[in-house]
Amino acid sequence: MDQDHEIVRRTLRGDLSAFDELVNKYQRPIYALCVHFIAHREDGRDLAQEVFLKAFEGLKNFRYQSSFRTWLYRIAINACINFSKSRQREYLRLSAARRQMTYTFSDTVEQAQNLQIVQSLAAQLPAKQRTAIILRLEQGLSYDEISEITGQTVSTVKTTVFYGLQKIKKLVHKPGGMAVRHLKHSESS
Amino acid sequence: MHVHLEPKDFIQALDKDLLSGRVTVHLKHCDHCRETLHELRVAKRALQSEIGSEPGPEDAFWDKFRQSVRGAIQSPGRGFHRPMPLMGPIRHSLAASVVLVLLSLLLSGTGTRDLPWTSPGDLGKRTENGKEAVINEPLRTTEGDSAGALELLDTEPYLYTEARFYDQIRQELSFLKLGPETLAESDVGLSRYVDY
Repeated sequence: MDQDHEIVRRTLRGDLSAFDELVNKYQRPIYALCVHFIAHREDGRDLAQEVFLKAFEGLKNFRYQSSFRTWLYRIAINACINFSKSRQREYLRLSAARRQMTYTFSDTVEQAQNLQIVQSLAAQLPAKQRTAIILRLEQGLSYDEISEITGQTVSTVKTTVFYGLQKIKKLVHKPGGMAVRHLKHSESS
Repeated sequence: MHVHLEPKDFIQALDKDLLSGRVTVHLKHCDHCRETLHELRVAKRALQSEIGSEPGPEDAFWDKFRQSVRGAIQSPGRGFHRPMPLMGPIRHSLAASVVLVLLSLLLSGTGTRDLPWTSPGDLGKRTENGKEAVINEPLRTTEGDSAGALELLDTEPYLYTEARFYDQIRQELSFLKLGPETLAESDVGLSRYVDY
């Protein structure tokens, strides 16, 4: 992670290509995080770009006490939560559309693509559980890192992941649900 | 009373293939916890297969993504060009201070009377209908060469002196016809304009 610190220092000296290196390194996980968190591809892409902008503007406040990755993820999670709050009404509308598509139609994938909605199990969880689940199971971060990002104890993060998985378990077992079809497909392949 | 495994034990069991002795022994004898662990593993697999099944964007997307970020950083008002958050209040304070200073100068009357190029001879006079009139209010004169000031007065298209200030006020209020000879005639009309 010292390598990232050095790149941050170069960026702060005015070397914009150094920041390109950081974008190049983290754009995929940050994009995936945003898209899965807010369950919308286009908004997720815009949000991911906003995360990098915020990071760039906040670089002067970076204290080099944590890893750049953890710091960036914290910005991303905050941005996702704020976005979800500000767009709650629209998000609920999209979620309703997703639920309708999930349990009613067979051509859900096509419709979801049209609406840019991501059929994410994690997106159906409350914000705290969603954060912990996505960071742990989608992004593969350690519990220590998640603890640093969310400000919760490692024990609390583990409990949150546990209850998040319990909820996903219920979604998976829901009759006719997308998750069940998805799972059956993945098991058969 | 039978005590089941705690969430952290399940999480440990999910993360590691090799379980601790206590957890292994418990799972061997507890159907409930064994079932729970199995369901958690199914949920975890569902999540991870969901991620794996989703096609990621192509390389061109990432190039465009990076370019967009770079473009946004370099655009005015963003990135390094963005004004520091503290500068906003400071700017407002500065603007307020300037306004206060200007107001105090205006109210103290020093703004126009002490102009060095104002002719002392011109200050107490004004011209109305081709006749020179004298304003009774005593005026302060300024320092400097009055001949030079008059020269300036002639060449300047407009020099804002106190006499001109009164002229301007008088012209703007002329519709009220406040002169002593017309006031009586326009008593009725006056109320139309001065309506407090």
